[in-house]
Amino acid sequence: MRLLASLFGFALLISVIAVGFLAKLWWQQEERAQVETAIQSEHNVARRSSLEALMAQVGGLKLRGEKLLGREAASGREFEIGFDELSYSGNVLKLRKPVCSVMDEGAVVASFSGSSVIVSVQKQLLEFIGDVVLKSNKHNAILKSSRMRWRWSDGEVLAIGGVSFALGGMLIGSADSARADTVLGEVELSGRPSLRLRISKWLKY
Amino acid sequence: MSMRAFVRSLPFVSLGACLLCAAFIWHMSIMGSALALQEVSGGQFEFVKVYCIGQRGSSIKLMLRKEPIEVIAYGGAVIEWSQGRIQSDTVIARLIQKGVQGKGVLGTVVSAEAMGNVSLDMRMDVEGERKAHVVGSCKRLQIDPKESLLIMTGSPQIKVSGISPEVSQALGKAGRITMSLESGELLFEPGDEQLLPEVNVQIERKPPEKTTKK
Repeated sequence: MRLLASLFGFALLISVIAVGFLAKLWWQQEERAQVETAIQSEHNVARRSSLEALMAQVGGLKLRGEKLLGREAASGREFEIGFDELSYSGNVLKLRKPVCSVMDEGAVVASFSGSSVIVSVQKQLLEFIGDVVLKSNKHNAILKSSRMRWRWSDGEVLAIGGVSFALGGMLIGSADSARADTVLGEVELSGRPSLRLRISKWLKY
Repeated sequence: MSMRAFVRSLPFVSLGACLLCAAFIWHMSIMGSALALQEVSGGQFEFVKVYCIGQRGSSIKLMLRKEPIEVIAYGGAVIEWSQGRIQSDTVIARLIQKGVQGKGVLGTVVSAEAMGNVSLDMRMDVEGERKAHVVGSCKRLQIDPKESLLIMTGSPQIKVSGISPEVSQALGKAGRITMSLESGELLFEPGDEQLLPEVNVQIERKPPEKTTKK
C-alpha cells in the first residue's frame, strides 16, 4: 500500500514538473512572437511612412488604403490606382494587377490596366507591363500594347510592342509603337502603321 | 420495342442525325453567304485600308479631338479600297462617325486628299462587264465623295486602257483632270497652270475581214 502511494506521489511530481516545463516553453514562444510582431509592424510603419514621404515629395502621390492617388499636372485631372499587391525598393514602386482610373469632374474619362506597373516617382512615370489596355471613355477608343508608359506630369502616353488601336466599330489600327495623350484625343501610330476603316460611303459607283 | 429492333434501327437513326447535321450546316453557310452578299451589293459599307510603305519616319496620326476626325498618313502613304489604290507622300482624310442601325458605327468620309508624288491605280466598271484600268500621277489629288469626283492637279496625267475593244489606250495631260467616279467621264481643263489639255487616243487596228471570192 505504501509502495503504491509513493509511486503515485512520484508520478504526480513528474507530471507537475513536465507541465511547468511545457508552460515555460509556451510562454517563451508567445513572448518571442509578440516581439517579432512588434518589430515587423514598426518596420512596416517605417517603410510605409518613408514610401509616403517619397511619393509626396516628388510625385505628389498619396497612398490611401489600397489605392494610390495623384493628379495629372497638365490637365488637373485626378487619378487613382487600385492594385492587388504593392512592393517597394529604392525609389521604385511595383504594383500587381493595377487599374488606373483618370477622372475629370468626377467622371472616369480614361483607364489603364495591365499585369503590373512600375511607378517611377521621381520621373512621374507609370510603366504598365503585360497586356496593357488604355480605354478612353471620352472618345470611345482603345489602345492596347505589351508595354505602355504614362507620364502623369504632362499626360503623354507611349505604347511599345504590338500596338493595336480601335475606335468604336469603324476603325482598327496597328503599329510597332504609338504616342498619344491620356484620353486618346490624338494618337500617332508609327513603325509599320496601318489602319482599316469601315466606312458607310466612300467612292460611290 | 424489343432490344433486337432497337439495335436494328440504330444505323437509320444515326444516318438521320448525320443528314440533319448536314442540313443545318448547309443552312448556316447559305445564311452566311446571303448576309455577305447583302453587305456587298447593298454598298452600305466598305473597308478602306490606310498604311505606310515608307521605311523611316512614316506614321499615321489620328486626331479624334477634331470634328470631323482627321487621319493623316505620312511617308509612302497608301489608301487602298476595293477598286484601287492611291499612293503619295501624305494622305489626309476627314471622316465622321455615324451609327447605322444593324451595322454599328461606321465612318463617313467627308473629304480625302493626297499630296506629294501621287500615283493612282484603279479599275473601273465599263460597259459589257469590262473593267477599265486607270493609271495616273499628279502632285495633288482630291476625292469629293459627295459628288463622287476625283480631282487631279499639279501636272496631272492619266492613262486609261480597256475602255472599249476599239480603243487600246488613251493618254491625257492637262492642268486639271476631273474624273467622275460614277460615270467614268474624264474632264481635261487648263486649270491654274494654264496647261492646254492634250489627249492621245490609240485606236486598235483590226485586220480587214477576209472575204472569199468564188
